[in-house]
Order: sequence, then structure tokens, then C-alpha cells
Amino acid sequence: MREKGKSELLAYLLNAPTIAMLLFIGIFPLLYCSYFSFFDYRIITQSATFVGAGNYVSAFQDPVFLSSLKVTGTYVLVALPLELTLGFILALILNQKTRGSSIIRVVFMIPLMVAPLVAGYLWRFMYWPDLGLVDTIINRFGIRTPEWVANPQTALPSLIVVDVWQWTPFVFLILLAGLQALPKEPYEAALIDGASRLQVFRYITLPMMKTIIAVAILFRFTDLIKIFDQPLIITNGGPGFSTYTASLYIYRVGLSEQFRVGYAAALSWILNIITMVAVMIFIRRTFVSEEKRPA
Amino acid sequence: MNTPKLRIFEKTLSWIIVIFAMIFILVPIVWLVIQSLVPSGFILNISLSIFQQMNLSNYAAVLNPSTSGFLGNVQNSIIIAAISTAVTTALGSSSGYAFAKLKFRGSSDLKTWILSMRFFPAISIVIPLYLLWGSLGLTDTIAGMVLVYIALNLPFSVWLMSSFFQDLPVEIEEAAMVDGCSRLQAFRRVVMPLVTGGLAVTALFTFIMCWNEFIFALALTADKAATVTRGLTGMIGMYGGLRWGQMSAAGVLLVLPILIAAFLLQKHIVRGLTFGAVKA
Repeated sequence: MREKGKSELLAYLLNAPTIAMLLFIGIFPLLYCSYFSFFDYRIITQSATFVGAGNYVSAFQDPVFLSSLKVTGTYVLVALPLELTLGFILALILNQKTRGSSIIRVVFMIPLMVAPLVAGYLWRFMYWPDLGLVDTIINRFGIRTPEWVANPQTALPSLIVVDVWQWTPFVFLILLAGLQALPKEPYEAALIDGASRLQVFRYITLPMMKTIIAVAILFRFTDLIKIFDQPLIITNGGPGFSTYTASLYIYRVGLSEQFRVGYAAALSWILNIITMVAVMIFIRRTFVSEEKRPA
Repeated sequence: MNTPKLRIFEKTLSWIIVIFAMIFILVPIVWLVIQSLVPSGFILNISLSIFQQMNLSNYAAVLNPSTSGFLGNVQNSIIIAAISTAVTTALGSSSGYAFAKLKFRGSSDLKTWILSMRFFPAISIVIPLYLLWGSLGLTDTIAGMVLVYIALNLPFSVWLMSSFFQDLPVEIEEAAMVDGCSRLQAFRRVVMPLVTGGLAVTALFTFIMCWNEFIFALALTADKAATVTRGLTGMIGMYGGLRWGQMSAAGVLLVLPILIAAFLLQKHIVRGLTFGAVKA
């Protein structure tokens, strides 16, 4: 009993610095942020007046904020399924091949290691009207191109391509690792039973990969919902508000154009709550329901 | 169903998909390197003649301290990333060890809470920190950035280190303690040497994340403590327009060391990317 108490104390001691850091630069700023989200707090005039829930009310009447949520939502709902599908297809293909697969894996690691900011500049050059590589290639075939990132119709899809370029390899590497760790027996059994390959995929591979797919979704979702670097560099939110993501707009409101930090704090809390609720629902539906089921 | 013809078709199709994906991934990177080698930075005509104009003038310009602040930014980034990495890895292994090897009340809740800190959108911490750092005098200082990056990377480091400690069989430590080692001695002499690989992976990943981080660097640094990513955005402002060649050269210099590090990490990349959740 004493031994147990001692090891508990040791565990808390070992965790103390981590907890202290996360309280100081995690929880405390978050609480502070929620505190001044109730004030009309402006940096330039150094004025702060209590407005109650005023900032939250104006948030839902702010067309730019609502549109930025829509843009962020589109980002998530288009990029995430695309990355999952492409990553899964590539993982399934390369799970069978052995020749050259280590070189291919190295190539797929490259985009992941490029700073998102550099990826932004890289693709800004790629999309540059006439001079960029995309136009150089397409114009050669005599096809006229839209101004990719300056056209409201093509700007967001062009940005999503960049995200797919950078993060499909992430999904691919995770799912490939998952596929390679799967046990062989169920496949042998299915082969004897004469199951078709589609059936094998649907009833064996997919269920066994569930947890790994969920991990990939969780990481991609929480990254996509806060996307900032690439839209800032490539389109700067434009044209109009067509690529203003939530984080980009909140940054503009709070720290670069309007310096209305109180309002920005309220907006960032709305984004927080959306993220938390989505993550909680997702975790509950994929993991908890599984644990509660009798084994 | 598995006729030879279908097999060949399938094989060809898979190869086409893989080759297309490789081209899609590599072309932008190769293009960035070519742009960085052409003095003007843009290539009007794709032909062999571009190889004749290639030289290192863009790199020379970027690395010249009298015309560009790039080297200063590199120095800041190295200092900030190195200190943050050392502290984060140390704290991460201490917590990670507790989660992996000790039983205590609230263990799994605490571990989940630590991970959840990573899922909050950065913007909701950037805004209050901008104000707090301003009033504490930490804005645009190395210390300010180090503190932020430690907190930012702790969830990763705790989870990853904990997964490496979990890999060690309990018996190793018990044997050492039966032989008369205290827990601390067993930890120092037996456990730590066995997780040096894990420490290296955690440290390298943390360094990469500090090096590539942007939104905090943008909000909290301006000049004195500007990191490489912050410096890159400054290059636009400085010249009014985009200097393709120099920007590309700076981009290549920013990515190159990380790619070398990643090459060393190859085997552990999936494990690192998923905070230790998926072991390849």
C-alpha cells in the first residue's frame, strides 16, 4: 500500500512540469481569451468596454465570419475525403508491391516535411498567371486557363489541391502502415471461402482498418479546421471573401487589420466550440461505442 | 474472375496511378529548385537553355548578411528550436514514463487532456498570448518563443515518449530493482539507455515542428527573434514585389535540412506523425 502511494506521488511529480506548462500556455490563455471575448476590446485605442454576449451576437450577424466558416467547412468536407480516398488507393496498391516501394515511400515523405508556409509560396508560383508552371504547361496545348487563384470559382479548389498535395502522403503513410500490420489469417480464410476481392475489402480490410482510419481523420480534421498558412500566402483570403478561412479572418480581425481583439476572441471561441463538439462526437461514435460492446 | 488479362490491366493501372502521384508530388519541388537557380527566378520558356543560365546568385544574395536577414533568422530558429526541443523532450519523457510505467489515479484522463490541448485551433491561443506576451515583455524575444514552442509540442512529446516506454517489458526494470537499484537508478542506468532511439525520434520531430511553425512566429515575433518562416514573409515586404529567385532559394534552404532529418527518421515517420498511436 505504501509502495503504491509512493509511485502515485512520483507519477504526479513527473507530470508536474508538463501540467504547469500546459496550464500556463494553454488553459490560462484560453480562459483569458474567453474573458475578454465579453469586452469590446481594441488594441489601438486601448479601450475595453463590457458588452456581455454582444460579440457573440454580432458574430452570427457578421456575413464575413459566416462565410469564413463555410469556407473552412468546404475545406474540411472536400479535402479530407479526397485525401482519404487517394491515400487509401495508393496504400492498397503499394501494399502489394515490393520492388521500389521504399523509394516511393521516401518520395511521399517529402511534402510532409515542407513547411506549410513554403508549400504556400511554392504553389503561389505554380499558379502564377502565364508565368507559373501550371499555366506554362496548359497554355502549351492552346487551352486558355482561368486565373486560378484570382477567380472566385477556382480559388478555393486550387487551394484544396495544395492541401491534397501536401497531406495525402500523410494519410497514405498511416494507412500503409496499418495495412502492413494486418494479420494474414482472415485473408486466407476468405480465399478458401471464395470471397470476391470487393467483399474482402468491404468485410475484412475496412473493419480491421477502422481505428487507423479514425486516427488519420482525427489528425487531418483538427489540422484542416485551423488552416491558415496556405490561404494566407496563396490568396490572402481573396478574391473577395472566397478563400477567407476562419483562422485567417480571426487573425485579421484581432491582430492585423482591425485590432478588435475582444471580437476576435469571441470568434475564436466559436471555432473552439465547433472543433471540440465535432471531435467529441467523432471520438464517441468511433471509439467509445466499440469499447462498450461486449467482446 | 482473375483472368490474366484482368491482372495485367490492373497492374498497369496501378503503376499509372503511382507514377502520376509521384510526378504530382515531385514536379513542384523540382520546379522550386530550378527557379532558385535561375537568377531572375522565372522561366519563360521550358527548354534546355535554362540550364545555361543557372547559377547560385540567388543563394548568394539570400545568404549575404548585408542584403538579407535570412542568416539571422536561421540563427534565431536554430536557437529557439534547439532549446525548445531539449526542454520538450525532457519533460515529455518524464511524463511519458509516468504514463507508461506507473499506475496513478486519473492517469488516462490526464493523458487525454494533454492530447486535447493539441486539438484546439492555434488562433484561440495566439490572440491571448499576443496580449500576455506584450504585457510580460516577451514579444519578439527568444525566451517568449521557446516557452510557446515547449507548450505547443508537449502533447506530441508526452504521447510519443510514452509509446516508446510502453514498448519496454516491465521485467527489465523489475530485474534492475531486484538487483538493488532504486527506481531512479533503474531509470537512469537501465531504462533510459533503452529508449535513446525514441528520444532521438521525439527530439528530431519536435525540432522539425518548431522550425516549420508559422502562425505563432508571425504573431509574436517581428525582427529580433524572427524565425525562418517569419523571415520568409518579411522578404516580400522588403522588396515590394515577389523576388521569385531569392524566395525560392530561401524556400529550398528552409526545406533542405528538414528533408535530411526526415530521411534519418524514415522508419519512425508514421509513429511520429500519429503521436505514437500507429507503430509501423
